[in-house]
Amino acid sequence: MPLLDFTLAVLRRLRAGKSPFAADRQHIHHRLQDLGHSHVGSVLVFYIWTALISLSCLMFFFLPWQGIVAFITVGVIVATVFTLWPIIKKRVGAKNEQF
Amino acid sequence: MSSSSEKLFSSILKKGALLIGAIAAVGGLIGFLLASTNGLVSALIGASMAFVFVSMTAASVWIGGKLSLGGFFGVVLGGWIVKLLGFIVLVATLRSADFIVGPVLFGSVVTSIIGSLVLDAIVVTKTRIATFDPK
Repeated sequence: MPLLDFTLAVLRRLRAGKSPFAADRQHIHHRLQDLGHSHVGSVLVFYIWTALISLSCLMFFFLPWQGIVAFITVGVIVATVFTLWPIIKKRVGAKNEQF
Repeated sequence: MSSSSEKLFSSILKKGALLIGAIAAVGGLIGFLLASTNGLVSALIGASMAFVFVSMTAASVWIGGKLSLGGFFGVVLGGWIVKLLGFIVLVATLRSADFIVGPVLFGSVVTSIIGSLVLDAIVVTKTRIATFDPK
């Protein structure tokens, strides 16, 4: 995740014709906070995705693939719901207000 | 590097060694009960791998901190690449070894790494680094 964030930052700045070291507010943790995550929530999103990716990679070396596919499927669903939780909460809240 | 930073890294390395030693003992016992000698060996190899790679991280920051800024980044980032490649080669080699019990090795590595990450977080948040060295 940190490597992805770093690569995206460099590409984004180069595409905009800026120095790769130019500061901006477009890092993944900024975007997560703009989505509605707290400081701790943004860090937890990083932890969850990092744990999911690294555990899945390591599992492929030592465990049978059927279990790994199940782990990745459940993991991606849980991580996606947690990442989008502020949006889901807002939409559910808005629907409840309508009724 | 200030003496308080030295204490921090020394503490991380010592406490990390104790924690992973304990995980190796418990993991070794569980591994032995699950898969006899191969389980014991797998658990010990997993814990040893975790200790070596986790200690390399702390040691690279510790040693890098004594160098110039360029030297610091060189040692920390260079060490990171060496660790990454070393880990992949080691895991790929162990994968096909007859004496390795995959699930035991996996459990031992993951438990040791998560344990040492929690330990690092506790030690770092409890440590106070002086803004100047009184020496």
